[in-house]
Amino acid sequence: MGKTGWPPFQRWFLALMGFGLLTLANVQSVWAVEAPSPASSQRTDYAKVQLVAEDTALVPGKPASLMLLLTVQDGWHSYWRNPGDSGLATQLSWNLPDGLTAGEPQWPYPERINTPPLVNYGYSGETALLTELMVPPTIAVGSHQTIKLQADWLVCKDICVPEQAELSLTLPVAASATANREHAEAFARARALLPQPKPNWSAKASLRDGQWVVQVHLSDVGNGQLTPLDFFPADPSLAANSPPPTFERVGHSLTITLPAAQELKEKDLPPQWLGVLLFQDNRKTPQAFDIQVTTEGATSINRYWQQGALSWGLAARALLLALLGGMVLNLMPCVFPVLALKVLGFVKASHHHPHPTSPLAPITTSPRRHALWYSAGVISSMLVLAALLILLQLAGQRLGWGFQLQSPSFVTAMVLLFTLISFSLFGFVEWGQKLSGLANRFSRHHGSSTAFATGVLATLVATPCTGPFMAIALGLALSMPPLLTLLIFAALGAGLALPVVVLSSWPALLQRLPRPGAWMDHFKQLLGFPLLASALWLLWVLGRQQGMAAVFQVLAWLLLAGFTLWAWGRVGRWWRCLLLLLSLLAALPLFAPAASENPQPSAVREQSGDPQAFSPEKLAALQAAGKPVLVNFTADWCLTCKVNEASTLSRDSVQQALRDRGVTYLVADWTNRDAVIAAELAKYQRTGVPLYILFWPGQAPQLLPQLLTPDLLLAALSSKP
Amino acid sequence: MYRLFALTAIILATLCSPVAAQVRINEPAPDFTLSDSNNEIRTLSEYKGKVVVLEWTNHLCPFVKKHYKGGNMQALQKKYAGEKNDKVVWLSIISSAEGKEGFVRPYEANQIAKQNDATPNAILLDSFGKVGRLYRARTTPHMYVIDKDGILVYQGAIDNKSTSDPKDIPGAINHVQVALDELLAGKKVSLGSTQPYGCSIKY
Repeated sequence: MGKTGWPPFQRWFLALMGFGLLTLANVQSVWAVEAPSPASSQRTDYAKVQLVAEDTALVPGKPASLMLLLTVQDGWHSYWRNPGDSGLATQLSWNLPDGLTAGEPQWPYPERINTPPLVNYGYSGETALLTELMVPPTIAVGSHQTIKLQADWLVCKDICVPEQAELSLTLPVAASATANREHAEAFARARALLPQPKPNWSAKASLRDGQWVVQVHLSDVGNGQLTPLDFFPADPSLAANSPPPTFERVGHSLTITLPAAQELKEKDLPPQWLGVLLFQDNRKTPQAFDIQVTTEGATSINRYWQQGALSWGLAARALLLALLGGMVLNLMPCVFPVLALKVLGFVKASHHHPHPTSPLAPITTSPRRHALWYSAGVISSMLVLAALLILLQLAGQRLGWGFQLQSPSFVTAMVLLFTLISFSLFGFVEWGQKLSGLANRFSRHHGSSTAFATGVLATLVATPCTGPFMAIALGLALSMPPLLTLLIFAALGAGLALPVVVLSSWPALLQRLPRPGAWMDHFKQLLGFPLLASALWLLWVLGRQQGMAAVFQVLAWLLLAGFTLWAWGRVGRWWRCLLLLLSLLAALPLFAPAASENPQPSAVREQSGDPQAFSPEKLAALQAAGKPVLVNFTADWCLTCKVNEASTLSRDSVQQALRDRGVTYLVADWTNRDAVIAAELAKYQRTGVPLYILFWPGQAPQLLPQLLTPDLLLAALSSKP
Repeated sequence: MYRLFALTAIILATLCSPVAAQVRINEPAPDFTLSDSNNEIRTLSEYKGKVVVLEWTNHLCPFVKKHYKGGNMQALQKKYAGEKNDKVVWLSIISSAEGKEGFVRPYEANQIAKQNDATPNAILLDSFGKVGRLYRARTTPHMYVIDKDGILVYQGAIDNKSTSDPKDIPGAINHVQVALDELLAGKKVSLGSTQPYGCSIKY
């Protein structure tokens, strides 16, 4: 060791002083036998310790309170039971006469000591650690008992110094005892700083995305009486100490969010743990409470998962649901055209290449093989989507399914894609036999890779429809372990691909499909319209997100692209290249990051009635005022939401009912990314919209179905007093 | 058409913001570069193929003194990372900021090591706290063990007796020793993470 902290002279001086003090302390403990006030104290370099008893004597069969008063120098601090990022809790080891036992020290609530990037929990100035001593009934009255305590503590300022002291206290045993008057005030002060137990406050904690979400029911605290200040877990291994916890108060329910310890594994979580919750009251006086927290699984799904048998059934059901959902997706307007194109491809394929009867027929022309490659394409792009989603979630962006539609760049790309495909479907583009419909091309080439690419295309085109349609299942999936999320997405993809596989596996079914002919052209052209409709809807979303200018830009580009496509078959190669280059260059500004990631604040929609923009604070305020509230979580890109709003929420009868029942209607608009709304959705295990919640005063939130009807809503509104 | 696919893919890719480097057990330990007490530049990745021990230290901290006065830390260094053993590299890191307790100039670092008979492969000077913060090192000592593939396999306390008393060393389970023995025997490290104890790092 180079420097040991003290120059020689000071070391001598300190040693001398220490010796002197030690002698003094011993003298004092000798005094204690005779003196009426038993106390033993000691002074160290940076602190002063004193052991005192509350009462003048020990009484057989009655607990006695002892106090260790630790006073550290100004600017220094000692540590709480959970010292935080560094430091060490003060330790008491008792050496007691036979029959006496000491309880655990009772810790006053700590203060948060910030030395960025580290945080400690401890005490500056004077700290009183109370300990209950159990005195056996058999102890002889009239005897003297010597209680010894070794205290070890760490004091830190810029540097840390471990210190220790041995204290002793001799007390008489008497049939009765009175309180030591001179320490009465110190004991009262110490007790005022102890967190009060609150057995009737239920507290549940769950681990979500590396955060503890602790929900405390403050059953006997009126609103506005106490303001939460801080929360300290007693076990250092549970939580990270910075950033500090955040609080959200809704009526009697307090939600505390604090970062979990980094290496915390769900299986290692203690079923119960202790925390100290610090409030201040109306007069800014701090009040601390001991909270017994019960750990729940990360989500209800994970809890089921941990319970063994139940989990597999649940997972299987979720997978089946996803499979069915995927199959239904085939009927969605933005998927059906691609499915139909593929089926048309098979029709043509089976006519161009009749079912192979000769063993020499190349196996590569088998429609089934194509279908399997197609499925592989669908499933793998679903998996890529799921992986992206998981990555995004890990990156801490609280986004749900449909998140692509909150990105204007993605919306723009989809508009362009849909319009261009519809152009080609209309036959507007003379891409010759090469591209007069993707089906044609794919059926000609029979390449495994082309079949794979069709699968990818089908998935890409399906995304706008899956959001509103699959919100619940996907919310479920995202609350599950990543592996299960991947499986659910794979099942979704399998469902999407299944009809194609079935059709190609039973060529008989294929034969039943109508023979190709002129109707195919008509049908193909017809399919262009739902695609255009999808593009129109997306343009509207883009307009809501980015304004008229962005819509104009996209439309202008489509004009250019349309012209390019029209001219394609009519001009020479040089012109083609020029036009193509021009179109591609013109497309770049559409995806310029400055324009694309700068959403304007979304306005509250005009509807009949008087919806107000949602904020958690507003909801809390309304609840506190005892008012019923209906919250509509919506987004412009969510078709179901729009349908519900048109069919139910904006109906006069519904609006009238809301007014009659005094229900405040709040709209949470998730058209653009919004962390607050995402967090709110997460509270209800949702990652997407729509979500409708009715809050009746004093009751648990009532979640309404995703598909609303006026009757249903009116019934819900009238069911409560 | 395929260009549009490519564009969409790029947009999707950019949406996916990079995950900040995090220090987690059983995940790659983030690389760093620091100059050592001999003014040489050291990077973590240059030791790939060897087990690396990171030891956050502050020679004035009583908890560090506990392990140096008792010869505990030196014994570990000699046993696993000495000249005879080339499978393990021991890096002592000093993250005390200039003017704070434990900050040393390069020559002082060498002097202290000589006095203590300490034999780390290098003493790295991190007075800006860059690497300390990256690894979320909190205390002195705070120990990290990285396996030969660059995977972090242990972080936390040196042993299970969180005191500053050298008398507690003989009865303690040394977590670093256990981890190193397991690694060198080709086994998986059984205890990946503990609560470090000691003085706060003087960032």
